[in-house]
Amino acid sequence: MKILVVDDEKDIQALFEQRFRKEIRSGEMEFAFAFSGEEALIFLEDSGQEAVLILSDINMPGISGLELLRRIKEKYKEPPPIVMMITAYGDNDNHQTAMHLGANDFLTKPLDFNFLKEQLKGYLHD
Amino acid sequence: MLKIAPILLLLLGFSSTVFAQKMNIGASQADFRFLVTGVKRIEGKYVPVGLNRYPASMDSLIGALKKQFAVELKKKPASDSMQLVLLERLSYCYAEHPSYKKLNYADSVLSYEYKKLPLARKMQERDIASRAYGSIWWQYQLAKKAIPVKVKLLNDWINEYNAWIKNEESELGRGSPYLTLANLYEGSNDEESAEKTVIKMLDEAITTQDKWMANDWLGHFYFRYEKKDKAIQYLKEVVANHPPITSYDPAAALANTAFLLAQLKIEKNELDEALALVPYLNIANKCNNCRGSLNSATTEDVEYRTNTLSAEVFLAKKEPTKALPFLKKIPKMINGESIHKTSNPQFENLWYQYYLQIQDYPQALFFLEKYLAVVDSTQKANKTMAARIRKNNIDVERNYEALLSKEKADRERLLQEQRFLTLEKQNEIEKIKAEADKKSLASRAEKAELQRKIETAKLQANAKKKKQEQDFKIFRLNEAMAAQRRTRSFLVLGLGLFGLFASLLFYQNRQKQKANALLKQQRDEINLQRDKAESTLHELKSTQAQLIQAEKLASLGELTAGIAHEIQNPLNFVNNFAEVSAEMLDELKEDLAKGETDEAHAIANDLKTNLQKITHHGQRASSIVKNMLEHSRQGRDAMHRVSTDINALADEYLRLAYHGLRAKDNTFNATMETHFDPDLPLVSVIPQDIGRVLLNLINNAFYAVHQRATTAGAPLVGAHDQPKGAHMGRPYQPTVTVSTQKIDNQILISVQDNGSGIPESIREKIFQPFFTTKPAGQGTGLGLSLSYDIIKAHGGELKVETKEGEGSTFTIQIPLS
Repeated sequence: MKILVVDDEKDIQALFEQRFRKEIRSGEMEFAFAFSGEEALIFLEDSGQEAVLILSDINMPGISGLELLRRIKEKYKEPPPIVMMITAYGDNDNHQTAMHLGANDFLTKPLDFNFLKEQLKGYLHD
Repeated sequence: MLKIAPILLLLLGFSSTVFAQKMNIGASQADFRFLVTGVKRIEGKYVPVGLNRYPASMDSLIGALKKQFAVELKKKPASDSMQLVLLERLSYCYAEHPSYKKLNYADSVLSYEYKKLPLARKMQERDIASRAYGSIWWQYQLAKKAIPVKVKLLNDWINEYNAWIKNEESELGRGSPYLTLANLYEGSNDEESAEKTVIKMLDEAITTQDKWMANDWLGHFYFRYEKKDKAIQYLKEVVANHPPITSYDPAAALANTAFLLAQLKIEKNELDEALALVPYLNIANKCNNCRGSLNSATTEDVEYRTNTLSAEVFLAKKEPTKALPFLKKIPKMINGESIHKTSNPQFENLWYQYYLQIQDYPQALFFLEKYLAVVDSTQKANKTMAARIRKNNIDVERNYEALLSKEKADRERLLQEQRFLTLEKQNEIEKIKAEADKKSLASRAEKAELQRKIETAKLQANAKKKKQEQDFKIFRLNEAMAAQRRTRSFLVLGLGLFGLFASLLFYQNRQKQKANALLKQQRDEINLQRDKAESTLHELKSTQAQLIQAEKLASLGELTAGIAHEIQNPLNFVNNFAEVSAEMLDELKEDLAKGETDEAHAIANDLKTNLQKITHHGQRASSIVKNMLEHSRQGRDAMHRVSTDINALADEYLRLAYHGLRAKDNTFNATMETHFDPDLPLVSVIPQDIGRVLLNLINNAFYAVHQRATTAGAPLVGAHDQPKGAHMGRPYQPTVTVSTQKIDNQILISVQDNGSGIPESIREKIFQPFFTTKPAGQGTGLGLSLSYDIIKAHGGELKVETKEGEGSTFTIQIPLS
């Protein structure tokens, strides 16, 4: 299963690759990275919705995470990818908006990677 | 692509029990979980589950299945049913293969399905053959095959289906190939063929189920094309002769149809018949099997429809008191979404009619305005609705147009009704205006008072200074007089009038004493006055310093949230890389103990990279803190000019301002654009000061666009007051642009917004101290004035260009030398 991580911080790639190195090595998880909402949309377009789980930051320059979520949910329906939103602002409104737009989960920075790993595995083995 | 939903469901209907009964091949049951649960339907949405097994096991699974298939073929005689199940699984594996697209597995899927078809026919396995057609159809759709090819396939499917169904009257029919074909025709704008196909289906239908589905499709079809009498004729049939309801989907379909029929009945003023349809809305609650599929959303939906329909009927009967209890029970949210997103703006319209009927005009007006506002913004809602409709294979464009024209007509009618209510409305508006005037008068008076106080303080200080100077003059004059007097005394003495000497001396002494006393008194007075003047001056100076500091702190406060956000990111990285490095060190130790030096080297390299990342992000955080401290630093000597990269400075403050505002108010949103001159030379400025100016201008720009965005979303009533371009065509996109440029011997930094601009009447005042348009307590009124002073101190200029309704551009010019 491919997981697409969307964040404007480029080092997020090194971090995820190390945090999930065991899962990547065993082939349990496969990661792809996009550094903006635009890149994420291009990736999804090119890969024919290969990614079934998307983790996106909300605050990014250009297309925001929420806008990205809206477009993904609008465009990819059969079956819709799982989208988990991540934000530094854990405010209620963002949460509500993300959930209305169809986000499957809503996480707050700083990320608890152990928890995230559990969540991802939960989706994987569901 | 979207038209496939029913077929996909059909494939999923391939239940686990089929496997359980007929299958027992080598691979473990767990490996096949995905076949059953590959896609799950949860609350009307498709959710992928169990997909993790694909990359690891799909190819090996296909391998195992092929092997099993070969073994089966060698058997004499080979089991047909085993072959069928193996073919079906192989087809599914290829269809769901992660590299389906890349490796063009569509052909493999099709070849297995075409093998399946004759086998299924021979075995009389109707379900499997039907699934094979469904699967082939799905592949055709994915491959975007030409319509005639698809039509042929569906006709084959229909013929095969008719051949099977002939003798099985008791069996529930499966008319889906007919309806799929009709939808295909309708989707390619051939409504006539679509209609014919379903009428044929109705003629040929043997089972109640098929008749029911055909009637339902036709009823909705005629409704879409505005043939309302025909629609009613078929929809009535659907409600009157429905098969026993034993699962959720038909229950929901029946409820939908009943709701639509009721709406049509209301239009025809057949109100009692409409009311009689209310129980059907709740049909899912009455079937035991359906309850599992009921959730809060569907319950809310039933509640919404039941109460809306009942209220509508009673209002149409002009019985507002009977309508009221239903009106009150209409939920405002369905599944967490506002009802405006999911339906027509009935809610406000019904309340409006209710208040109109009980002759409560102010309330009627209130809901009318709300209704108009909602109607006005339904363009967006309509799009969502259109998307939903499209999902149900409905010809969107026509329906959308029809919907729109109906709403336009409604609006026209309502606008006319609104004219009757103009008087009340004007009174209301007058009242609000008067109140607003009062408020602005009060705040203006407050400001004037403040300015007057400051002016008075200044005048007092001046007066005291003058008095001090005067007093000093008097002092010197008195001293000169005393000296004259003394000289005169000596002259008298010189005349030799010794007898008078003592008395003269006495007199002189007394005079001197008097003068001295007077002088002392005067000196004391002067000192007192001087002290007073000095302390006033000091007070004024410190007040001024305090004001400047307050402005600095205010801008710092605006920055704080932005800074917190900017600092959080690097700190997260530091923590994360540190944590993961610790884990990796443990692994390194294990590898060394096992003697796996290559692995150990690789980890050591990663660790080094991690340490570099930790250092990098640590420095990033500390530079943010450093900048923050510099921003609030006091005193002149702390400030000196340094060669500064203006682009970097502008970028930093743009981000800080954005995140600051974003964190404070999450409704805030704006597009940031930068046009930085890449060849901009370093400029010698006091960076903290220029930063403060930039922050100020950027904050103002964001404030302006946010203000306009808030008014752009205002209801219809105010539409003509809005800035040009906000209400027509494209929606308003708040944008702030920062650009830099070198021209001749100076650099230009401009901060541009597309807010509402600065009105002519206040354009002159914006650089004056204490002038602000923000509500009391939100602005010090010193921002632009300080900015102006800072730029002047740099030998530059701060200018503004603005157009009401289009935006403002503030430009800083700084000379290079």
